[in-house]
Amino acid sequence: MNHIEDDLKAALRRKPAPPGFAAKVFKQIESEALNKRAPHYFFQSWLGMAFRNEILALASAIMLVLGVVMQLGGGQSVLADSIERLTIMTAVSRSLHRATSMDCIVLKPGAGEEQYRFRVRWNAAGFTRVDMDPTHIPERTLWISKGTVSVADDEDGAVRSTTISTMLSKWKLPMEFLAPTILAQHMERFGLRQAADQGSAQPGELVLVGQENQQVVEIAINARTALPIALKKFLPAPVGTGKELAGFEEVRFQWNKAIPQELFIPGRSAIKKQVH
Amino acid sequence: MSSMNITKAILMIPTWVLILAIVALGVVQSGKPVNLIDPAGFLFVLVFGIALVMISFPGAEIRRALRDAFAPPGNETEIKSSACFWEAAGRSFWIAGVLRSILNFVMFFMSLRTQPIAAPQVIYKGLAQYLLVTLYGILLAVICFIPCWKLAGKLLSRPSAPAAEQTSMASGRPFWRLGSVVGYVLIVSLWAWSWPLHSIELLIAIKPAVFVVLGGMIAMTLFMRGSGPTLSTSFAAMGLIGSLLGIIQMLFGMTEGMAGIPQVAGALAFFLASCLTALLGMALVGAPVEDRAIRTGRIPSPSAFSRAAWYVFPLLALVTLIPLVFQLIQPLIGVG
Repeated sequence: MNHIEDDLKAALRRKPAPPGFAAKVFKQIESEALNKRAPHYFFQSWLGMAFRNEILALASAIMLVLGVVMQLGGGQSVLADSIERLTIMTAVSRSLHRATSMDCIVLKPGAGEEQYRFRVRWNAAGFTRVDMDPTHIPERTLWISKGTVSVADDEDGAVRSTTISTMLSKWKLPMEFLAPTILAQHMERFGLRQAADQGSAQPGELVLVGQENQQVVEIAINARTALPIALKKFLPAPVGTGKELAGFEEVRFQWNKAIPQELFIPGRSAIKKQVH
Repeated sequence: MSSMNITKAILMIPTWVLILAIVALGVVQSGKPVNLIDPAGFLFVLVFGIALVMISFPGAEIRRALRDAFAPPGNETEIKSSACFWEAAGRSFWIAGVLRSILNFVMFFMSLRTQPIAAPQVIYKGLAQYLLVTLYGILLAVICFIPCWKLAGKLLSRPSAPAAEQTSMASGRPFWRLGSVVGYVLIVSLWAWSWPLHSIELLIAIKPAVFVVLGGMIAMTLFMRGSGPTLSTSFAAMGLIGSLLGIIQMLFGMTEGMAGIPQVAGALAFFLASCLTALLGMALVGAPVEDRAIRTGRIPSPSAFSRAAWYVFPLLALVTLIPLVFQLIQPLIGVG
């Protein structure tokens, strides 16, 4: 009947009524009456009931409340989660690219129970100095600049240079920590997001969690500067054992602190035996 | 056709060739032309736009509108109907372009869950390509608006016809014609083909905004009942409210620094989802209902509010989205 009513209204707006209008209206009334007997009329009338004002108003109120509660309820959607990862990575990456110096201590696992310990220092001029644990590696200090690695001989202090691609594998250098930009690129793979449990965070810190090759990565960052303070990697705990994650690799960072320039000149400072 | 008209038509051919050559030169000079090619995006906009037109208009009217675009049009009712068709086609391509751009942004974010964050240059290139589909939408829309404006001009230049000629009785056909069903099926298939992995995930992810926009739209439509088809206006209004809610939440989140990042992310997701729901609602439900009301003579033409909803809301959504997304990724782009 709505069609007929609408057509009548439309026709009445256009004066005078078009020729043959009355006949068409009668025809529609007739077909409407026939429709009432048709099987699909029951479905249509049922649909009409469902679209009654009261039901629609109730549905509208329920949907609005549900939407607001879901949005403010704290549960994060897949989309929000992905945006969070990008935003966090952007903030951390921006801070890392703006760093003027980096001083970090890396603890990496070796064969069996032993651990390798490195101290990596980097300055904005692009020089990196790596002091290695002397108990495992005879060469104590490496200087890296523009793809060249320099090593000072322990006995005579002579400096030998080689390209970074051909350097000895026994050094097991923590390549991802040689410069903040490399670290930023490496962190992009972690898919970092804020940890639900911030219990382990110190005041002014924020704990981020991510994953790399099935290892859980936990990074504490400075909440103000977004620079990493500590990075920990954990081995995945065997499923069903209930065991806690075992620490695997640990790095502690210090940023933007003055580092004497002479430390970055190959050979000179090696003799002074930098303290780890 | 008189000999003068034929001469005029022949003279127009080199003019068009010259104009096209200038446009092509401009495109070549504007940078790498290869950067302006996105076949998948173009296909999406084209098919989505055609499907929307199929939903709104039956085959006979489409054929007549195509004929009227090139041949001298018939009576006033036919011109009006054809002009209405071409406007609807232009609107459909425009909405399809913006919709695809926003969908591209959303799918880009969704993909970050399963793959590492790409190099800044890759992200930058991707974002530029995401906006490219809007360009395709605008180009196709302009092509459709040309016959619309031409027919509207002819209608204005004609002396007013008798009332009998202007009538357009309700066809009495149900809304669910075969063409409409095919149009909707085409859209669903296109969607599933474009993003086979993320389609369901996306629908689950955007449900808070879907509830808010749909709930608000129903409430608004109930309040405005009796004032003609208002679905498009309601969808746009709720999309705008949802977007604004998202932006406000986002700004509050930004005041909390790093700790507010989850809130910022949630708010941007809400903004995106609101725009997406409102655009989809307008394209799939609002506009077809209004087109049908015009075709059946229930309303003479789209209301100013509906036109604002169709043309201004997508533009606002896109213009607001770009700085919001760039605010997030710009530092990544600037480095490296």
